[in-house]
Amino acid sequence: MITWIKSSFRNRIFVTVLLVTLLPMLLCDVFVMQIAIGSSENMLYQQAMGELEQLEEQLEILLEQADTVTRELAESTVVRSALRRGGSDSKLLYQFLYQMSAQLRDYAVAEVYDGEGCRLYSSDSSPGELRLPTGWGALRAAGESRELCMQADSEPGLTMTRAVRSYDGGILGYILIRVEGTGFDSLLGDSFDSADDVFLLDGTWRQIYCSDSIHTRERVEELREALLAGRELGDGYYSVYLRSLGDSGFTLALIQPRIYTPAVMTSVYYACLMMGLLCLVLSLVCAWMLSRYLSKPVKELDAAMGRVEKGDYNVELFSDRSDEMGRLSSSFNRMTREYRQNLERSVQHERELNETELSMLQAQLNPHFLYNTLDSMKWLGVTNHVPQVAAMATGLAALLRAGISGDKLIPLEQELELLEKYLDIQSVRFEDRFTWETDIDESFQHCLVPKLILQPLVENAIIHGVANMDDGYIKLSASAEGETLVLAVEDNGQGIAPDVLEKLKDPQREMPAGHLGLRNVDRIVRLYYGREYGISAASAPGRGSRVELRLPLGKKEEENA
Amino acid sequence: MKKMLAAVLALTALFAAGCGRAGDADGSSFAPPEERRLVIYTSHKEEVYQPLIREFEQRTGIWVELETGGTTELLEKISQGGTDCDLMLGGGADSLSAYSRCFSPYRSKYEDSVRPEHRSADGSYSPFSALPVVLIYNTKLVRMNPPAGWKSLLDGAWRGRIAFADPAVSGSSYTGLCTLLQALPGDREELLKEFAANLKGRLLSSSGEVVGAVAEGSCYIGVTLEETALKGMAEGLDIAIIYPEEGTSALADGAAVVAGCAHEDNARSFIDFMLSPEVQQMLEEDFSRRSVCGSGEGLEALKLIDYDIQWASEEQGNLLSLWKEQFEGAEE
Repeated sequence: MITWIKSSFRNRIFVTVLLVTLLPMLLCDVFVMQIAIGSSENMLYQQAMGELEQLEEQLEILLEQADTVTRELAESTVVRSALRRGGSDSKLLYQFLYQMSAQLRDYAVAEVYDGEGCRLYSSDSSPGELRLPTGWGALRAAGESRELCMQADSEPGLTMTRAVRSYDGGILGYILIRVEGTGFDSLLGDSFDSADDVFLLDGTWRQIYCSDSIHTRERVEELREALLAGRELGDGYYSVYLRSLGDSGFTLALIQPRIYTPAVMTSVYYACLMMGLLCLVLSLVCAWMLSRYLSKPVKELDAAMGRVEKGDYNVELFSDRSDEMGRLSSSFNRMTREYRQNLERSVQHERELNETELSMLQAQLNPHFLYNTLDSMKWLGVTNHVPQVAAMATGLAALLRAGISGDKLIPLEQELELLEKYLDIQSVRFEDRFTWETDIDESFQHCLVPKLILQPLVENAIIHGVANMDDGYIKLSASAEGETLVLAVEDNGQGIAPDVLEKLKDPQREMPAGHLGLRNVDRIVRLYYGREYGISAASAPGRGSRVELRLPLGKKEEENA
Repeated sequence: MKKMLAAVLALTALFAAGCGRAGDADGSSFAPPEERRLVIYTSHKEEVYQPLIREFEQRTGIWVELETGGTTELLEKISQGGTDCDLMLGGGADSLSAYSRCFSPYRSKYEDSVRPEHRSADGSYSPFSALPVVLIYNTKLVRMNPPAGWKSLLDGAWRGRIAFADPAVSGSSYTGLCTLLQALPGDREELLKEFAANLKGRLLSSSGEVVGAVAEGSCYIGVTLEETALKGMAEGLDIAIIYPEEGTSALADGAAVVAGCAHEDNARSFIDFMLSPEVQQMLEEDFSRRSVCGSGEGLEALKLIDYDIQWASEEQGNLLSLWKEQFEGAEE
């Protein structure tokens, strides 16, 4: 993975862009979710606390009122004397009962029982006959205490009892205040959100009141079981908030539905995941495209540089961009162009230098002196009957003249004549141990070729080919390949060594001594006509060789034009 | 690179998981300490145990945890061990004494007021209430000469008109059968055959059907527990109770403290509460049951036979196979 990233400029860009687009998105995602959930939970918590506060206040007021009312009733002479007298017809007591319980009557019933547990008076509209056991439940508890006794009723509700005692402590009767579910509804209904549920539980968590009238029993039981088993009271769907209610021993429980239930969380996570995937795909595409856009010119530049390094200075980059990359491309183009011009200039310079050197040589060796000397040698040969000397001197003179004459390009016809003179001289030197043949079509006779270009090839064929043979054979032929003139020199000599052949193919490599002629020809041709021209050689050891020279097919007239 | 990605993902997951529950009240501060807890297994009906437990909780402030089920099922659970049960409430005296090894003996402070025949020999259980076996009859169908006692069940006048549950299925029916055999003089196997013949092949599949069968008139008389009959009467069914003149049995059900339980003191105070005069008084007033204490007036007034529990349990196999035999004979 890391090597893959490091291998390319483009991969680096790709990975960086991917990370830079994806990571902040993921982090934002998570943080926003956290904050949303946290703040909503906190808000719900605050709300629940507020509701509990209010509920507690309402209940405390209720208990306080009940305490006051029962105390005043229990201690009043009216009640005591009415209970002592018996019967349930004391108008005075009713008056007092109504008066006292006025503030409670909206949600509670106040009743007076005699010492036997029979109901005598009630603030309820139509009380029936009722007898409560004095040894059981609320009346027993009140009988054993001097304070207000509060108990959960078996019919869900709250019963508050206080014994009415005579001055000697004997029980005359009981004051009882009962609050049922509907009473609690009207008392507490405004203090909490309708989505929440409120439980009022007694000391052992038995229900006094539950705002959920449908599943009352089960839910209170569930809560109690969870508490006893030491389990968490709330679950994924509900939060449970508890508060102890003063010294009554009661517990107030607020059940609040959660917003982020497991189902909601699942869909939130799902949405986040989908969003993440979408972003991943988008980031991938963007990163891919951006990295390609950025790296393309660099890659092109890299490739062009590679070609330049191999010596190809004709490289041009095309870019329509106006940014740094575009400028870089045009700078590169300018650089190669200048390099090319420099090269041409230096070639030109060298050529001029060569010409100057040659003219200096020409100036130093006065040609007329050489001609006259050679002419004298010729006549000496004739007069002394040594015709070979005469022929050699004539040939050498012709070659010398051609060598220093002004024209650089001469028709093939003329080149062949010069070559014949050269071969004549060589025949003398090698005592006719080789024969040679020219097979050149009439149509090529007027093609222009560099002066004395074929001489090194033939020399090569003689010296490295047929020199040590008795029946050497050299053949010169010409053909055309499109606009290219191919001149071939073949021999049946010992061939060119494979390493020399190899080196000949690569213009950059040094040729071994003795083979410089071929390389020079190659270089001159390339410099004159371009890289597609030059020399190519084929050879098999012991079976001769074939050297081809490729030149543009140019006629004399065209050259002049 | 992969490691970095993995780290980022892990971080993300951590954050996502971190959005836990904020602001939940800590319930543990509200949970009662161990010394204020009591775990009760009961086979009683809710209308019996509910008022008792509520009153117990209000008086003592002890939190009661309850598990309900059938007597045999719960006793079996307790005997296998590993339960958190402190007190077994319910089950006949015979069942409880059969599992006495699971219980730790306790003699309540009210033990002295318990009638001697209901006290357990080794104190492994304490009796709760007594359940007399009675006869019932349909008051519309039987206007003259209602049945007088166990002897009436052998009387040809009621042949095929007797509602009696299969004693192989119903425990109370088996108790009824044994009471009949012990109350009447004579060879018990002969009595059994005679009674089986008088049923004329008619057997109810459960004890709960007896009251219904008599009330709707398909049978004229029946054998059931007093509690069941009184409840039927309270519902306004046309039945009346006959306490057999030969005397009847009143087997007790009880409660027992499980040996090695976690809240033994609380379990004992529940037994004390259960035998307290207020509760015993309430049994007769509200639950149609009989108090096991001498102070209870009802049981004194009843004529009771000296019911031999040991004989009943020892002979159970014999009697039931004989019964089955007889019964198949009667069907043919």
